[in-house]
Amino acid sequence: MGSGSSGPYGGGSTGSQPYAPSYHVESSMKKHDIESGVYKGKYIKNPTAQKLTDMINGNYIGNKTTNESGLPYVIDMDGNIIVGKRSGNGRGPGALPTPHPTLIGGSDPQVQMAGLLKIGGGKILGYDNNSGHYKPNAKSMTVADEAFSKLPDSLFSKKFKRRTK
Amino acid sequence: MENLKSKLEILFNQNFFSDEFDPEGEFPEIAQELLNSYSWKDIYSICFEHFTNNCVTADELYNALNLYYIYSFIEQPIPNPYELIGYILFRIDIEQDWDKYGEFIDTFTISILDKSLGSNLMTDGYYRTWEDPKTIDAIELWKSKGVK
Repeated sequence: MGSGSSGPYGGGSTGSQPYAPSYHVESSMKKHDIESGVYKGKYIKNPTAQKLTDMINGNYIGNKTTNESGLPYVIDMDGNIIVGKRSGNGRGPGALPTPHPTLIGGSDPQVQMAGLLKIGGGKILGYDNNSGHYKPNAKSMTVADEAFSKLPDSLFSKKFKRRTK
Repeated sequence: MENLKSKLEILFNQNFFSDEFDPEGEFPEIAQELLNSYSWKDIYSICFEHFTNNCVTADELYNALNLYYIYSFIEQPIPNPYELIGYILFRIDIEQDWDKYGEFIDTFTISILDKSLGSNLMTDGYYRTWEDPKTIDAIELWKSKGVK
Protein backbone atom coordinates (compact mmCIF):
# COMPACT_ATOMS: atom_id res chain seq x y z
CA MET A 1 0.00 0.00 0.00
CA GLY A 2 1.41 3.44 -0.85
CA SER A 3 2.86 5.12 2.19
CA GLY A 4 3.21 8.73 1.07
CA SER A 5 1.86 11.77 2.81
CA SER A 6 -1.78 10.78 2.68
CA GLY A 7 -3.47 12.77 5.43
CA PRO A 8 -6.41 11.13 7.15
CA TYR A 9 -7.38 8.85 4.29
CA GLY A 10 -5.22 5.89 5.30
CA GLY A 11 -4.76 4.99 1.66
CA GLY A 12 -8.08 3.15 1.36
CA SER A 13 -11.78 3.75 0.84
CA THR A 14 -13.72 4.35 4.04
CA GLY A 15 -17.26 3.94 2.68
CA SER A 16 -19.83 6.45 1.49
CA GLN A 17 -22.22 8.82 3.19
CA PRO A 18 -25.92 7.93 3.30
CA TYR A 19 -27.74 8.97 0.14
CA ALA A 20 -28.78 12.63 0.09
CA PRO A 21 -29.78 15.14 -2.61
CA SER A 22 -26.63 17.07 -1.68
CA TYR A 23 -23.51 16.49 0.35
CA HIS A 24 -21.39 18.49 2.76
CA VAL A 25 -17.72 17.81 3.40
CA GLU A 26 -17.24 15.00 5.91
CA SER A 27 -16.39 16.50 9.28
CA SER A 28 -13.22 14.44 9.76
CA MET A 29 -11.91 15.70 6.44
CA LYS A 30 -12.75 19.29 7.26
CA LYS A 31 -10.77 19.02 10.47
CA HIS A 32 -7.74 17.93 8.50
CA ASP A 33 -8.29 20.68 5.95
CA ILE A 34 -8.23 23.25 8.74
CA GLU A 35 -5.01 21.83 10.10
CA SER A 36 -3.36 21.85 6.69
CA GLY A 37 -4.45 25.35 5.71
CA VAL A 38 -6.73 24.29 2.88
CA TYR A 39 -9.60 25.68 4.96
CA LYS A 40 -9.05 29.08 6.58
CA GLY A 41 -12.54 30.16 7.51
CA LYS A 42 -13.46 28.96 4.05
CA TYR A 43 -12.02 26.59 1.50
CA ILE A 44 -9.36 27.94 -0.80
CA LYS A 45 -10.37 27.91 -4.46
CA ASN A 46 -8.64 25.62 -6.92
CA PRO A 47 -7.25 28.10 -9.45
CA THR A 48 -7.85 25.59 -12.27
CA ALA A 49 -11.55 25.05 -11.40
CA GLN A 50 -13.87 25.57 -14.38
CA LYS A 51 -17.08 24.28 -15.88
CA LEU A 52 -16.48 21.20 -17.97
CA THR A 53 -18.51 22.82 -20.74
CA ASP A 54 -15.91 25.59 -20.92
CA MET A 55 -13.32 22.98 -21.85
CA ILE A 56 -15.28 21.82 -24.89
CA ASN A 57 -13.36 22.48 -28.08
CA GLY A 58 -15.26 21.07 -31.07
CA ASN A 59 -15.48 17.32 -30.49
CA TYR A 60 -12.96 17.32 -27.67
CA ILE A 61 -12.66 18.08 -23.99
CA GLY A 62 -9.55 20.23 -24.14
CA ASN A 63 -7.98 18.84 -27.29
CA LYS A 64 -7.03 15.59 -29.02
CA THR A 65 -4.09 15.10 -26.67
CA THR A 66 -5.96 15.62 -23.39
CA ASN A 67 -5.37 12.60 -21.17
CA GLU A 68 -6.63 12.67 -17.59
CA SER A 69 -6.63 9.51 -15.49
CA GLY A 70 -8.27 11.07 -12.45
CA LEU A 71 -9.67 14.57 -12.95
CA PRO A 72 -11.67 15.63 -9.88
CA TYR A 73 -15.21 16.78 -10.66
CA VAL A 74 -18.23 17.92 -8.69
CA ILE A 75 -21.79 18.63 -9.74
CA ASP A 76 -22.74 21.89 -8.11
CA MET A 77 -26.16 22.84 -6.80
CA ASP A 78 -27.06 24.30 -10.23
CA GLY A 79 -26.23 21.04 -12.00
CA ASN A 80 -22.98 22.27 -13.54
CA ILE A 81 -20.08 19.85 -13.85
CA ILE A 82 -17.08 21.61 -12.33
CA VAL A 83 -13.61 20.15 -12.88
CA GLY A 84 -10.12 21.15 -11.79
CA LYS A 85 -6.64 19.72 -11.70
CA ARG A 86 -5.84 17.40 -8.84
CA SER A 87 -2.83 19.54 -7.87
CA GLY A 88 -4.32 22.84 -8.92
CA ASN A 89 -1.60 24.80 -7.12
CA GLY A 90 1.21 22.83 -8.74
CA ARG A 91 4.07 21.52 -6.67
CA GLY A 92 6.04 24.61 -5.81
CA PRO A 93 7.14 25.33 -2.23
CA GLY A 94 4.14 25.60 0.05
CA ALA A 95 1.66 24.69 -2.69
CA LEU A 96 -1.55 23.74 -0.93
CA PRO A 97 -3.48 20.64 -2.06
CA THR A 98 -6.74 21.19 -3.91
CA PRO A 99 -9.18 18.45 -2.92
CA HIS A 100 -12.78 18.34 -4.18
CA PRO A 101 -14.25 21.13 -1.96
CA THR A 102 -11.82 23.62 -3.51
CA LEU A 103 -13.60 23.21 -6.83
CA ILE A 104 -16.39 25.26 -5.25
CA GLY A 105 -14.64 27.05 -2.42
CA GLY A 106 -16.41 28.90 0.37
CA SER A 107 -17.24 28.05 3.96
CA ASP A 108 -19.53 25.08 3.34
CA PRO A 109 -19.36 23.93 -0.27
CA GLN A 110 -22.31 21.66 -1.00
CA VAL A 111 -22.43 19.43 -4.05
CA GLN A 112 -24.94 17.06 -5.61
CA MET A 113 -22.20 14.67 -6.60
CA ALA A 114 -18.39 14.36 -6.61
CA GLY A 115 -15.95 11.95 -8.15
CA LEU A 116 -13.21 11.42 -10.70
CA LEU A 117 -13.41 11.82 -14.45
CA LYS A 118 -11.25 9.92 -16.94
CA ILE A 119 -10.43 11.44 -20.31
CA GLY A 120 -8.46 9.87 -23.12
CA GLY A 121 -7.54 11.65 -26.33
CA GLY A 122 -9.93 14.44 -25.41
CA LYS A 123 -12.90 12.07 -25.01
CA ILE A 124 -14.70 11.00 -21.84
CA LEU A 125 -13.78 7.45 -20.87
CA GLY A 126 -15.76 7.31 -17.64
CA TYR A 127 -16.68 8.92 -14.34
CA ASP A 128 -17.26 7.62 -10.81
CA ASN A 129 -18.22 8.64 -7.30
CA ASN A 130 -14.75 8.53 -5.76
CA SER A 131 -14.32 11.49 -3.43
CA GLY A 132 -12.57 11.18 -0.10
CA HIS A 133 -14.03 14.51 1.07
CA TYR A 134 -17.67 14.03 0.07
CA LYS A 135 -17.97 10.24 -0.21
CA PRO A 136 -21.22 10.49 -2.18
CA ASN A 137 -23.50 7.49 -2.09
CA ALA A 138 -23.47 5.28 -5.19
CA LYS A 139 -27.16 6.11 -5.66
CA SER A 140 -26.06 9.64 -6.59
CA MET A 141 -24.47 8.25 -9.75
CA THR A 142 -27.85 8.94 -11.37
CA VAL A 143 -27.16 12.64 -10.79
CA ALA A 144 -23.85 12.29 -12.61
CA ASP A 145 -25.53 10.32 -15.39
CA GLU A 146 -28.06 13.09 -15.86
CA ALA A 147 -25.45 15.84 -15.94
CA PHE A 148 -23.11 14.02 -18.31
CA SER A 149 -25.99 12.93 -20.58
CA LYS A 150 -26.50 16.58 -21.47
CA LEU A 151 -23.11 16.62 -23.19
CA PRO A 152 -22.88 15.86 -26.93
CA ASP A 153 -22.25 12.21 -27.81
CA SER A 154 -19.17 13.29 -29.78
CA LEU A 155 -17.39 14.05 -26.49
CA PHE A 156 -17.54 10.42 -25.37
CA SER A 157 -14.98 7.79 -26.24
CA LYS A 158 -15.93 4.65 -28.16
CA LYS A 159 -14.87 2.85 -24.99
CA PHE A 160 -17.38 4.70 -22.80
CA LYS A 161 -20.23 2.56 -21.58
CA ARG A 162 -23.38 4.31 -20.44
CA ARG A 163 -24.74 2.81 -17.25
CA THR A 164 -28.03 1.02 -17.54
CA LYS A 165 -30.66 1.54 -14.84
CA MET B 1 7.77 -13.00 -28.40
CA GLU B 2 9.54 -11.40 -31.35
CA ASN B 3 6.19 -10.86 -33.03
CA LEU B 4 4.89 -9.12 -29.89
CA LYS B 5 8.04 -7.06 -29.63
CA SER B 6 7.82 -5.85 -33.22
CA LYS B 7 4.15 -4.88 -32.80
CA LEU B 8 4.85 -2.96 -29.61
CA GLU B 9 7.72 -1.25 -31.36
CA ILE B 10 5.27 0.03 -33.95
CA LEU B 11 2.88 1.20 -31.22
CA PHE B 12 5.55 3.09 -29.31
CA ASN B 13 7.06 4.59 -32.47
CA GLN B 14 3.98 6.78 -32.74
CA ASN B 15 3.98 10.43 -31.80
CA PHE B 16 0.93 10.88 -29.58
CA PHE B 17 1.10 14.64 -30.04
CA SER B 18 1.17 14.69 -33.84
CA ASP B 19 -1.89 15.72 -35.83
CA GLU B 20 -1.81 12.37 -37.61
CA PHE B 21 -2.16 10.23 -34.50
CA ASP B 22 -5.77 9.18 -33.84
CA PRO B 23 -6.37 8.33 -30.16
CA GLU B 24 -9.40 6.26 -31.22
CA GLY B 25 -7.89 4.80 -34.37
CA GLU B 26 -5.90 1.78 -35.51
CA PHE B 27 -3.09 1.87 -32.98
CA PRO B 28 -5.28 1.66 -29.84
CA GLU B 29 -7.14 -1.15 -31.62
CA ILE B 30 -3.87 -3.00 -32.24
CA ALA B 31 -3.03 -2.51 -28.55
CA GLN B 32 -6.35 -4.07 -27.56
CA GLU B 33 -5.65 -7.04 -29.84
CA LEU B 34 -2.30 -7.52 -28.14
CA LEU B 35 -3.98 -7.46 -24.72
CA ASN B 36 -6.37 -10.13 -25.95
CA SER B 37 -3.65 -12.28 -27.52
CA TYR B 38 -0.60 -12.10 -25.28
CA SER B 39 0.12 -12.27 -21.56
CA TRP B 40 0.22 -8.91 -19.83
CA LYS B 41 3.47 -9.96 -18.16
CA ASP B 42 5.16 -10.24 -21.57
CA ILE B 43 3.60 -7.01 -22.84
CA TYR B 44 4.63 -5.05 -19.80
CA SER B 45 8.21 -6.35 -19.78
CA ILE B 46 8.66 -4.99 -23.31
CA CYS B 47 6.99 -1.68 -22.37
CA PHE B 48 9.27 -1.32 -19.37
CA GLU B 49 12.30 -2.09 -21.50
CA HIS B 50 11.18 0.56 -23.98
CA PHE B 51 10.75 3.18 -21.24
CA THR B 52 14.10 2.54 -19.62
CA ASN B 53 16.26 1.77 -22.66
CA ASN B 54 14.79 3.90 -25.43
CA CYS B 55 13.21 6.89 -23.66
CA VAL B 56 16.23 8.82 -22.51
CA THR B 57 14.78 12.31 -22.63
CA ALA B 58 11.80 13.70 -20.75
CA ASP B 59 9.93 14.33 -24.00
CA GLU B 60 10.50 10.79 -25.25
CA LEU B 61 9.26 9.28 -22.01
CA TYR B 62 6.31 11.67 -21.80
CA ASN B 63 5.21 10.64 -25.28
CA ALA B 64 5.59 6.95 -24.40
CA LEU B 65 3.55 7.32 -21.22
CA ASN B 66 0.74 9.09 -23.06
CA LEU B 67 0.71 6.25 -25.59
CA TYR B 68 0.71 3.71 -22.75
CA TYR B 69 -2.33 5.52 -21.33
CA ILE B 70 -4.29 5.74 -24.59
CA TYR B 71 -3.54 2.09 -25.32
CA SER B 72 -5.29 1.30 -21.98
CA PHE B 73 -2.17 -0.44 -20.68
CA ILE B 74 -2.51 1.72 -17.57
CA GLU B 75 -5.58 -0.32 -16.59
CA GLN B 76 -3.34 -3.30 -15.89
CA PRO B 77 -1.47 -3.88 -12.59
CA ILE B 78 2.31 -4.07 -12.75
CA PRO B 79 4.63 -6.08 -10.51
CA ASN B 80 6.84 -3.31 -9.16
CA PRO B 81 5.04 0.03 -9.53
CA TYR B 82 7.55 2.07 -7.55
CA GLU B 83 10.33 0.94 -9.88
CA LEU B 84 8.48 2.45 -12.85
CA ILE B 85 7.37 5.54 -10.96
CA GLY B 86 10.93 6.05 -9.73
CA TYR B 87 12.17 5.95 -13.32
CA ILE B 88 9.49 8.38 -14.47
CA LEU B 89 10.34 10.93 -11.80
CA PHE B 90 14.06 10.35 -12.31
CA ARG B 91 13.73 11.05 -16.01
CA ILE B 92 11.09 13.80 -15.90
CA ASP B 93 11.74 16.71 -13.55
CA ILE B 94 8.21 17.73 -12.63
CA GLU B 95 9.45 20.27 -10.14
CA GLN B 96 11.25 22.22 -12.82
CA ASP B 97 8.79 21.46 -15.64
CA TRP B 98 5.49 21.22 -13.80
CA ASP B 99 3.60 23.22 -16.42
CA LYS B 100 4.72 20.92 -19.21
CA TYR B 101 4.53 17.48 -17.60
CA GLY B 102 3.34 17.74 -14.01
CA GLU B 103 -0.41 17.38 -14.19
CA PHE B 104 -0.39 14.27 -16.36
CA ILE B 105 2.47 12.63 -14.44
CA ASP B 106 0.73 13.42 -11.13
CA THR B 107 -2.38 11.36 -11.88
CA PHE B 108 -0.61 8.83 -14.11
CA THR B 109 1.68 7.70 -11.30
CA ILE B 110 -1.17 7.49 -8.81
CA SER B 111 -3.18 5.42 -11.27
CA ILE B 112 -0.26 3.01 -11.58
CA LEU B 113 -0.19 2.60 -7.81
CA ASP B 114 -3.95 2.17 -7.41
CA LYS B 115 -4.15 -0.45 -10.17
CA SER B 116 -1.13 -2.35 -8.91
CA LEU B 117 -1.58 -2.14 -5.15
CA GLY B 118 -5.37 -2.12 -4.94
CA SER B 119 -5.19 1.23 -3.16
CA ASN B 120 -7.47 4.25 -3.56
CA LEU B 121 -4.88 7.01 -3.42
CA MET B 122 -6.54 9.00 -6.20
CA THR B 123 -9.33 9.94 -3.79
CA ASP B 124 -6.78 11.21 -1.26
CA GLY B 125 -6.41 14.88 -2.10
CA TYR B 126 -3.30 15.02 0.06
CA TYR B 127 -1.34 12.13 -1.44
CA ARG B 128 1.71 13.18 -3.45
CA THR B 129 3.61 10.47 -5.30
CA TRP B 130 6.80 12.49 -5.16
CA GLU B 131 6.61 12.73 -1.36
CA ASP B 132 6.09 8.99 -0.94
CA PRO B 133 9.22 7.54 0.76
CA LYS B 134 9.07 4.52 -1.55
CA THR B 135 9.11 6.81 -4.57
CA ILE B 136 12.04 8.76 -3.18
CA ASP B 137 13.96 5.55 -2.59
CA ALA B 138 13.17 4.34 -6.11
CA ILE B 139 14.42 7.58 -7.67
CA GLU B 140 17.65 7.33 -5.70
CA LEU B 141 18.11 3.78 -6.91
CA TRP B 142 17.86 4.92 -10.54
CA LYS B 143 20.34 7.69 -9.83
CA SER B 144 22.74 5.23 -8.26
CA LYS B 145 22.65 3.01 -11.36
CA GLY B 146 24.40 5.72 -13.32
CA VAL B 147 21.62 5.77 -15.91
CA LYS B 148 22.06 8.75 -18.22
